[in-house]
Amino acid sequence: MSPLFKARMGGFCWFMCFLTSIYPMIISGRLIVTGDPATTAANLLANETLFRLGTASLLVSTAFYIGATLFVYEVLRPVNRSLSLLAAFFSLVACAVGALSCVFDLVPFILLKGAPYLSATFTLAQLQALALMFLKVRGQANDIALALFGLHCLGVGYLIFRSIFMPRIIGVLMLVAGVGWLTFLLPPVAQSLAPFNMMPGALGEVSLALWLLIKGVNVQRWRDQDNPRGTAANFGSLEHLIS
Amino acid sequence: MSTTVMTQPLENPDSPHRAIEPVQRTAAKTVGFLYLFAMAISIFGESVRGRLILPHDAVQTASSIAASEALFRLSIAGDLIIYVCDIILFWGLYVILKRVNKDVALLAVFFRLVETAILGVTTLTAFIALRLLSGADYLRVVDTAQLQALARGFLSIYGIGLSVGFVFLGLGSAVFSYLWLKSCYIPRGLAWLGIFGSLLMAIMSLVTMVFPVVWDRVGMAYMMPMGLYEIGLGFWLLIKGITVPSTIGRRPEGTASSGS
Repeated sequence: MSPLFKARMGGFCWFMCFLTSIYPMIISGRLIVTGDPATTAANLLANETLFRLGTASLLVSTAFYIGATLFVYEVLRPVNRSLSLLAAFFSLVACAVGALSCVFDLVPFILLKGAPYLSATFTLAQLQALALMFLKVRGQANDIALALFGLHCLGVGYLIFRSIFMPRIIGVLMLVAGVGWLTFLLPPVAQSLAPFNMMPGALGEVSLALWLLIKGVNVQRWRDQDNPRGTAANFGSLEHLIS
Repeated sequence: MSTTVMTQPLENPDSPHRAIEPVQRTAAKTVGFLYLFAMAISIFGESVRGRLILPHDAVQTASSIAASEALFRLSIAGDLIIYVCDIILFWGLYVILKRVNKDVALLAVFFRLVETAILGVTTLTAFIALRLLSGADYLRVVDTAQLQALARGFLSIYGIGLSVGFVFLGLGSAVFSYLWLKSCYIPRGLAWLGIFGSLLMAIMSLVTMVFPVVWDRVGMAYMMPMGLYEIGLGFWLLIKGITVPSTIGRRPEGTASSGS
């Protein structure tokens, strides 16, 4: 795979991840009413398929993020291999935590859909309260994932800043994005700053995704940084002889 | 053969057409064994849980788990053993298939590591159910019926966790199957079955998540092709191992552009 292809794939995956994560945010923002379990329950049951579609969309988004992680790791590997791998590991853990939040997303339907064993032992109000609690746990899992994504963004931003084949400004934007996502380590702080702590994230990630997708990387400079000593042509066999 | 060994360093080190290395053969045997071992354990676990967990009956579920608690715990331990085996399995698949395309092999490992993390955490729900049913003193303040209902609810969450994990299992397995197809190490039909079965698993896990009605109709039937593929691949790797394509001149499509 050529570096240009990897860059384009990384940009495509990151952009698709961004696109598919918009719908879940909108739908859960519209249906979940904080502090009102009865309305939330009624909303969920009236729009069950729409809400479930949000959960599935978030999982698709996570899958794209895993793809983006791999390709961006490959693109930034010449700058610093171990740091690029470290950033990818943060992202993988974030993806796992983020996908787990989708499990809690679907728990309200177990509680609210009138299984006789639940409706016979709990009052409706109790079940609705439990359902809302699980949605809040979902939110908490999401916050943890976002903070870990922040660490990924910091790594990626630093590597882009130190690279000679991508514009430094995108590295700076990604560093700011990472700091923004890290505010989710303290949810009260994140809530009071929202949406200003999410804007740099959106700006940095969209500009990185579009840059990779449209401009890719400067292939000659990428090869130079990948192999500072020899010519790119015989690098493969050279590496093999040394190792 | 000694001359080909001498010239190897000058060839593309990523070419799957180079002689198969001993580590790849060892990895293939390991992977074959682990596929079959994990499949046997998962069939055991599914049958135990299918017998003990009743769809809409919390009281019966609680009493059947109480009557066979050791068996139930063994089935959960079995799941954890599968996840440990899986991690060794990904390593083996990576060792075998990185020669086809290292980056794509790493992508498959990424998908499947996320899957394992999700599934591993999901087993917690079964342990929560066991705690609720434990009859511990501190839980006496809650009605027995409520504890049993909550326990049954957490066992349903176990099911959700599995289908979330299966999305990533399907994607990772599809990517590995694609590499098997490119490698020509195994019969092409088996690799195609893997691609089909794995994608079916990923897509249907999402579909049943959005439309639970589909799950009520199809049940676990959509996992059958994937199951057949894993059993077939397991036996093939264990008995036949991996072989280099016999006609070196006939390069399979796509490998010309492989390598990073």
